[in-house]
Amino acid sequence: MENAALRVLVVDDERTVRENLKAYLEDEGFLVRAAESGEAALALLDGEAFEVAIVDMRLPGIDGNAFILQAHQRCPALRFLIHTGSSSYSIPQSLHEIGLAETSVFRKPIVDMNRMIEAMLACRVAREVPHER
Amino acid sequence: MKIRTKFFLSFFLIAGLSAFFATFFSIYSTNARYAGTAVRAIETAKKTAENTFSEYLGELIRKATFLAELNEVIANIDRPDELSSSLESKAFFLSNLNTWVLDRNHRMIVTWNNATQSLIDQPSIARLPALVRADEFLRSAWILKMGTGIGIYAFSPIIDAERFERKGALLIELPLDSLFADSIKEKTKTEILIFSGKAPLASTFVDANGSRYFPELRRLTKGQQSQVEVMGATYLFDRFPIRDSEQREIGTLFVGVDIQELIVAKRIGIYSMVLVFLLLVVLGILGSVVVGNRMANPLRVLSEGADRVARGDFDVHVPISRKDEIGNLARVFNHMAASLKGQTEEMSHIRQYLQNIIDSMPSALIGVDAEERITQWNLEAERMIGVKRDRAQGQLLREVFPPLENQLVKIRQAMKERKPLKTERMSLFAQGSQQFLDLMIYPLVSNGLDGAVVRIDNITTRVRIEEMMVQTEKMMSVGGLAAGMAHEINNPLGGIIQGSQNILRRISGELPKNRQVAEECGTDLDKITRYLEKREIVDFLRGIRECGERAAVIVENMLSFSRRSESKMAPVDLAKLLDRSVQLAASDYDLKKRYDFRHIQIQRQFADDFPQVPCVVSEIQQVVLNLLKNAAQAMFEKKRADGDPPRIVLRLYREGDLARIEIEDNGPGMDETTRKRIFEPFFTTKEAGIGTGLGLFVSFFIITNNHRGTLEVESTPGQGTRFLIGIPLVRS
Repeated sequence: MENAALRVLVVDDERTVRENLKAYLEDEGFLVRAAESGEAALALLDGEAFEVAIVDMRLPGIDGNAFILQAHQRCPALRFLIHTGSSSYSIPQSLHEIGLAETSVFRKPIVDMNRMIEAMLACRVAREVPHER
Repeated sequence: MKIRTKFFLSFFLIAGLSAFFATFFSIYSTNARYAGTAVRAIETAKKTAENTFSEYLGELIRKATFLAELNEVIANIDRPDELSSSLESKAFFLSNLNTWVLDRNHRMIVTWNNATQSLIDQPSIARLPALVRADEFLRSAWILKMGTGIGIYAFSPIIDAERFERKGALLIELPLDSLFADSIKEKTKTEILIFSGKAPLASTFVDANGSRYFPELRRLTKGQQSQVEVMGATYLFDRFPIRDSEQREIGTLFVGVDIQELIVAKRIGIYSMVLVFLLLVVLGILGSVVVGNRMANPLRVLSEGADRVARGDFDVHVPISRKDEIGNLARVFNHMAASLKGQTEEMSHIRQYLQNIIDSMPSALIGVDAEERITQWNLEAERMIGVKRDRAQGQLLREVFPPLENQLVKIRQAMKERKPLKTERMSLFAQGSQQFLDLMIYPLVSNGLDGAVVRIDNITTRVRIEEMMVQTEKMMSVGGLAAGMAHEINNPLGGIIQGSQNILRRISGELPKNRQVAEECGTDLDKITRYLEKREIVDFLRGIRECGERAAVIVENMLSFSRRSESKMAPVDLAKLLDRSVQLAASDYDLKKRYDFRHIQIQRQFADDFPQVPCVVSEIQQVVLNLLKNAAQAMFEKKRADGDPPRIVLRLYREGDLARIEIEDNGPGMDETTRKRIFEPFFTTKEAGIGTGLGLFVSFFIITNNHRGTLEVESTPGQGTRFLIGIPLVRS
């Protein structure tokens, strides 16, 4: 498994979620940054390049939706995974156009993290072979 | 008495009486006439007879005088022979007379007897009144009783006119004998009888032998005029006394008129009258019968017609078409009957229509009068209360339907205040279950009739639906609550699960980083691991993680139904879905190994050519799986008493516009209390820790809310349970 420094941005307003995700992903060998709001996350994006962003939909300022759209504008190469507590969430059309699918959605609480790991790795593969898309 | 009889009797009486009186008077007058005729005849005869006497007296005197004045007589007074021959030559003159010539001394000189035996003899001459009174110079005649008989005597002195000396006398005797009687008879044309006292002297009756016949004096003297039958003929006899010169009654002369013809004529007349009378009577009878019938028959027909109308049969037409009052009566009657019929029919139609309205009403309609007796009881009341109209009518309401007893207060109040009253949701145990009734009591306020009407609607179904809706609402709000709650729980759950997971990962020896950091801390990871394991920290952590996962499962189950699913509705082959569910159930592995699906007998009763049904595959699958699991668990827990192998029957068929899925087991079943609550959230019959009590709740929600279908359960304790799913074949 090639985990070499897959750069991940975790956006969630709950500290426990951020910390647990960060710990798990770091144990998996990813490079993880965490932001507690959409604005903070955008600021981080200005400074660094990330490959995958794990985004909670419910955020204090701009919501996850808005953040993704803005982040995509700044970093078109950034891949997104949605990590939401809402049981009835479905991807709006705007995000479909960016390239998000149902498989990008992860509902809290995640019991089996493997799926998320696979999805994140798949983002990298997709990135690395852009001309095949 | 019938009119016909009255008519008959009246006519008969009138005719009869008239005829009778007419006949009677006719007969009477005929009688009288005939009697009159007879009497007149008799009177005439009597007079004639009387006159004859006088005539005879006169005649005798004349004859006596004539003879006495005859010269030959005067001259031959002393010569008897000459006198005899003179007398002889006067035979015709002296027929039926006895004649004597007397001398101066009144001695018989000559006797000439032409009549019957003379009554006179020499001594009795001296008793002649002329001699007694010494009127011997006078001519005179007398009627005298002589001996046993009576005679008319004429005395004429023979006088020598020249010498003026009485030479003698002439005496003529006309004895009243039968010849005399005959001569009278000639005059009177009647029969004559002469009696002297009781002695019969003369009779004009001659019997068969030629001798004179005398009827009994007794019979002749019955009354002044008497009817006596003499020798076969009937005579009317009258009489007058024969008086002598001293007016002494010396005899009786009977005049007898032959009234035989009269009698016969009278009899014929009477018979004719009687015949006429009888004829009249018969005619009277006939006439009265005919007239009576003519009068009575139409009246009878009318009367019968009226009877029928009175009995309620208005289909009557009296076939009388006369022009008189009876005809008019009949015409009017027919008209009335037709009108009655029409009105009755109309009334009947109206009544039937009203009754139809009342009976067609889906509510029970009970009418009561002021005494709370039932006046109206419609069809729905019969069905609802189970009492037939005939039995209920007129009875006290509280006796016919006791549960309404406590409503009587309201009924009375409604009637008194003339305002309607309601009783809502009255509860009643009937037909084996709890029923709910809505009562509307309203008093009758128009037409001045007292009473009230109770309308009863059985709202049990509505109440149950309402309760179900409330229940569903509750469930949905619970669902909503649960969804909201679940949403909130997800985060902390995530923290628990992920936290415990991270701990477990970071204490294990698998991650190189763990060893690295342990070394940096101056310790050995293995030692730490061993410590943690020995102190069961690892177990506790695993426990925490498991609990977290279980909680997550619960929450997930809770939330699964509230996800939007419309967009996922697609036509599904239910047969395939059911088969797949069975496979899933068989391969499902329960942590606690509470059941083994593979030992259960599966029966498959699917209809052929079943159409595809619009639904959400995953959800229906979830429901079916849940039901199969429940069945398996139930059957595992309680072995069947009769050792029957556990069995689940799956059925798929069409019912109207529903697709029906049945999942039936032969497990222990459930009692009614359990069955009623089985779809409640968090209601479970399993032991604590097994199942969450959400499966059926969620299944119910999926079917009823998401698919607008039905989910029902039937169960018999000891026999099994059957779940019935109904999904509309067409999405609406």
